[in-house]
Amino acid sequence: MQKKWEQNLALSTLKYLSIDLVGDFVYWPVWWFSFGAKKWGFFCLQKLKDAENRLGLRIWFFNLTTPMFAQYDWQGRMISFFIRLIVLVFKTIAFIFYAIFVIALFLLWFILPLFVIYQIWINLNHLISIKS
Amino acid sequence: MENQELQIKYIECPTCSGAGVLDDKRCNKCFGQPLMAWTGKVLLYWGKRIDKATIYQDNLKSAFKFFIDSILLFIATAGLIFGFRHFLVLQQGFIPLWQFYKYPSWSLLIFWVSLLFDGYLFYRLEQDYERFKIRIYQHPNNQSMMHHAIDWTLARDLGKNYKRNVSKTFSKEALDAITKSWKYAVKYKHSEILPLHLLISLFQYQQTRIVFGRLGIDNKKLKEKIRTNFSNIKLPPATNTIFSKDLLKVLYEGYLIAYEEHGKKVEIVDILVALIKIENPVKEIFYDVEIDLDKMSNIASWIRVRKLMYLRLQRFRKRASLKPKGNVNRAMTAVATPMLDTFSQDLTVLAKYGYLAPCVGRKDEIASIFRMVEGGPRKATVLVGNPGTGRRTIIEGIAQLMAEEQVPEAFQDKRLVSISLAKLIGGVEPSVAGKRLLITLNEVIRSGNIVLFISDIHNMIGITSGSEEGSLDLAATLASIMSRSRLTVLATTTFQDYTKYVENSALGNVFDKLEVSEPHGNEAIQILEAKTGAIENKNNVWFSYDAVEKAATLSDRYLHDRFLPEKAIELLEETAIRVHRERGKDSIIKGEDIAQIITEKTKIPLTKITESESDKLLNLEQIIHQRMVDQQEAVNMISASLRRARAGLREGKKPIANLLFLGPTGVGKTELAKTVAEVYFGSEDNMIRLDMTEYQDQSSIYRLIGDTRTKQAGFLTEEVRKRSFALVLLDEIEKAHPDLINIFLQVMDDGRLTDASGRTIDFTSTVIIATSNANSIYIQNRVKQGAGAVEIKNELMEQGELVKHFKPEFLNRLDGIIVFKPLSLEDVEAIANLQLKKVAASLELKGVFLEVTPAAVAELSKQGYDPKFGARPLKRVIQEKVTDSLTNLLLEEKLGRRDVVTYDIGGNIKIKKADT
Repeated sequence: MQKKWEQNLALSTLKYLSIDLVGDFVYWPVWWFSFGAKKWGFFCLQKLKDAENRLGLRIWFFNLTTPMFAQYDWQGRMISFFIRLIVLVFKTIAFIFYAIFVIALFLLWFILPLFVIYQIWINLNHLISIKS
Repeated sequence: MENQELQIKYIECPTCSGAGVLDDKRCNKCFGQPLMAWTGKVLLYWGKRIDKATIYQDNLKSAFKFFIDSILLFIATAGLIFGFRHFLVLQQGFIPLWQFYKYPSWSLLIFWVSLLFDGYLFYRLEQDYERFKIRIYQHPNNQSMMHHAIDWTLARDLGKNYKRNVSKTFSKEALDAITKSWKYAVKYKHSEILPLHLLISLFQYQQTRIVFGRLGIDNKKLKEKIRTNFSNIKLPPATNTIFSKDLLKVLYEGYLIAYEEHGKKVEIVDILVALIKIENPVKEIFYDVEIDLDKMSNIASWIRVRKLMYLRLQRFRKRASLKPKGNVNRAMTAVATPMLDTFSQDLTVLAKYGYLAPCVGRKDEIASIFRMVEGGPRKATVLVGNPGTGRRTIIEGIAQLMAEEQVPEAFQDKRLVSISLAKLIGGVEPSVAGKRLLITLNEVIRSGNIVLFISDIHNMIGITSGSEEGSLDLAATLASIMSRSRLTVLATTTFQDYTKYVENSALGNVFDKLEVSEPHGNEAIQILEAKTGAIENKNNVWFSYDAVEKAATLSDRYLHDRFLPEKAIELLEETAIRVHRERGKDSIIKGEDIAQIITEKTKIPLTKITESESDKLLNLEQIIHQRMVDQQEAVNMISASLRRARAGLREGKKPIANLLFLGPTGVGKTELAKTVAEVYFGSEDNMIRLDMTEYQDQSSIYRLIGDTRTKQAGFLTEEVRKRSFALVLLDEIEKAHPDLINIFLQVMDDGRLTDASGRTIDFTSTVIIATSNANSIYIQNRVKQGAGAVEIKNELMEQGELVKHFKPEFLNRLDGIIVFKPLSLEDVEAIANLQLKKVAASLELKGVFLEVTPAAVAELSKQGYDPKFGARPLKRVIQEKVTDSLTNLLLEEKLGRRDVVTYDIGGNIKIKKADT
C-alpha cells in the first residue's frame, strides 16, 4: 500500500519534472536574449562605472580649471590647465579603449550563441559530406 | 514611520476556526492556511505545504536537479577535453591556432555543442541564484489601510502587493528546521507541530548552539525541561499532522522581527526571538532557565552585528582601495604639507589600511557632525563628552567613512588629519609653538583637502608668548584663522574643560558644540558586543551574553571614576586575559568572572552568594552577638538590612542602610558599628569614622567634602571614593553643625555626593550609622521604670523630644531609629566575660593560659558597673586589676610557657606551673 503510493507519487513527480525540464530548455533562449541580456548589460555598465571611478575621469574633468598643487598664480594656472588637459586626454583614451572592450564583451553575449550554432551547422555539414 | 507597524492581528479561517482540519481531514476552505496575520500594512500567510508528499517531492526534485546538473557538467568537461584535442591536432599540422574554427572535426563539433550546453548551465545557475535572492521586501506604506478592520473574506481578496508569502523569505536552514520539526511530530504521532517541536529541531543547527553558548545557560537543565515538556504533550492521534496556531504565530513573528531588523531572510535567530515573544510553552521553558526577551533580542542583535561587520569590512576594502595613500588628493589640487606631517597623523590612511576599530552605533552623532559642518554657519564642531565615552571612536568612524567616500561633499576627496598638540608644543618656547601652528595652518589652508582634528583642544588655551594680559595664545590664533578661512576642524574636550576654558574663549565662537553622552543599558551592551570579536580573537576565549551584560551594568553601577563604554571594554579585556590564563583556550567567560573582577577592584561582594556566605548571612545575628551583648533590636535590624543588600533586594539608589543609634554612653553603639565593619565589610579598618564634635562650625563643611578654592580634598568624600564598600560612622551627630547634617540628607536619599572637584561619590554600597547621646537621661529614667526600647522610641518620636535635636527631614530619611538600652548588671557580666576572653587571647600568644573564676568575674563586673556610663568603667577595672597584675608577673618573669594562671576574688592570682 505504502509502496504503491510512493511509486505513484514518484512517477507523477518525475513526469512533471521532465515536462518542466523541456519547458525550461525552451525558455532558455528567450531568457538569454531578454532578462539575461539585461543582466549582462548591467554587469558591463558596472564595469564601465568602476573604470571611470578608478581613472577619476570625472574628478579630472571638473577640476580642469583648478590649478594643481595650489599654484594660484597665472603661470601656475596655465601650466596646470595644459597638464590637466593632457592627462585628461590620455585618461579618456584609456577609458575609450576599455569601453570598446566592455562593449565588445556585451555584444559577445548576443553573438556567441548564434556563432556557436553556426559552427555546429558547418561542422555537421562538413562531417556528413565527408561520410557521404 | 517604519516602526508604526501595528500590533499583529490574527485572522482565522471561519470554517475550521483556525484548526486547519475538519473531521480529521484538511479543511477545504483554507487548504491548510488556517491562520493569517494582518500587520496593518500587509497580510502574512504561510504558503508552503509541509507533509509527506511535498517532502517526498522536494527530495525527488533536488535529486533530479543534481542529476541534470551533473550531466551538464560532464558535457562541459568533455567539451574542454575534445577542444584541447582539436588544438593538439592543429599544432601537429603547423596550423596557426587562431584558425582553429576553420578546420572542422568531430572534436570541434563536440566542443561547440558543449559550449551551447554551458550556456544552458549558466542559465540554470542564474535562475537558482534568482530564487535564492528572494528576500524580505519593504512593506507598502499605505496609511489608509492601517486602520482597516480585515476579516477572512477581505483578506483573501487583498491585492498581491499587500500579501506576503512568509515561507519564501525563510533561509534554507530555517526552512530545513521547520521540515525537521514536522518529522518529529510525525514520528511521535502528534497531530500538530508545536513550537516545542521546532525548538528541538533548531538545536541541530550551529546558529542555535552559538546562541545558547553565548547565553551561557545550563544545557543539561534546558534539555531536562524540554524532555519533561515533550513527554507532557497530549494531542489526539490523527492521520494529518498540521501546523499549530502557536507555531504559525511564531513564524509570522519571526518574519516581522527579521523585517524590522532589515534582514534579507528570516534566520534561525529570528525564530528563536519569536519563540520567546509569542505566548507558548517554549517561552516558559526559556523563563525557567533565566532567558528573557531582552537577553534573546540582544544576542540576536549581537549575531546580526557580527555578520554586518563582516559584510561591511568586505565592502570597505573594495571602496577604500581607491583612496590615495599620500598627501595629494585625487583631484591633485593639494600641496605638500611637510610641517603638518611632522606634527600629525593621517587618520584616513590609517582607516584605509584597516588600523582603526569599527565604530558601532553613533549614527546620530556622525550625522549631526556632517549636518553642522555642511549646513551650519561654522565649519567646526567640538565634541564635548567625558573621557572614555567614545569621542575618538566617532572621529575614527568619520575617517573610515571618508576612506570609503561615503560622506557629504564637504568631506569628499579629503583627508582627516589629527594634530598632536604634544608634538606641536613639546620642548619649545610658546613663540616657536605659535610659529609652528601658523605654518601648519597655512599648509592646511593652501592644501584645501584637509579636515583637521584636534584632540583635547582646551590644552591650547593659555599657551602664549606674550607676558601681558590679553596677549594671543595658541587657541586665539587658531580661532582667528578659523574665522577668516572657514577651515573644517573637529575637536574634542571634556564637559568641565568646555565650561571652564573653551566656552568663554575665542574658540567658543568658532566651534559648534556637540554633546557626546555616555551610552547606558542596551546601547552600551550593543557597543560592547561589537567590540568582543577583537578581544575574543586575541585571547582565544568566548564571552557569554551574561558577561557582556554584567560588564555594562556592573561597571556602570560600581566603577564611578570612569565612563562607559571604555571602562566596560577594559573590564572585558582584563577578564579575558585572566580567564585565558586560569582556564585555558576556548573557555567561556561568564557573568560571574566579570563580577569577580569588579569585586576585587571595589571589595563590594557581587558574585553569586556561596553556601558558606549564605550560612554566614543567615546567622549574622549570632555572629554579631559573639562580640556584642544584648541590644537585640539593633542587631536584628542591621542584620536584616545587610541580608537585603547582599541578596540584591534593596532599592539601588540608597545606601544599604541609614541608621540612628540612640542611647547613653557606653552601651555598645560604637561597638556594634565596629562589629558590623568586621563581620560584613571584612575588617574594622573598613569603618570610616567621623567624630562629629570636630565638625561644629559651618566652615568645617570643607573638611568634609573638600574645598573648591584650595583644591583640598574632603575627608569623607576621599575616603568613600577610595573604598566605596565601607561603613560610615557619624559619632555624636547631634553635635555637628546643622548645615552638615543637611549634606547627609542628600546622601541618605540618593546615595551620592558631589565633592569639591565635581566628582560624584557613590554611597550606595555603604552603611551609614549615626550615633547620638541625645535624650539619654530620659532613656535611662524610662528604662529604670521598666519601659522597653521600642516603647521608649515611640515616646521620643511622639513627644517631639527628638525633633529638638534633629530636623524632621533627617529623621524621615532614616531606615531605623534604634534605642540602645542601658546595660544591666548581667549584661556587664557578659561583657566582662568577652573582654576577659580578649585578655586571655593576648596572653595565649605568650604561651600562658588564663582562667578567671566566675566569682571573680562577678566581682569585676560589680566594680565596673555604673548605670550612667554603661560598660566603659569595666574596661578600666579589668585593665587595672587583671591586665596590670599579669603584666607585672610577666615582667618579673614569673610566668613561663604553658603555665596556667587563675584569677580569683580579691585579685588573688595562682600560678600553676607546667610540668617540666
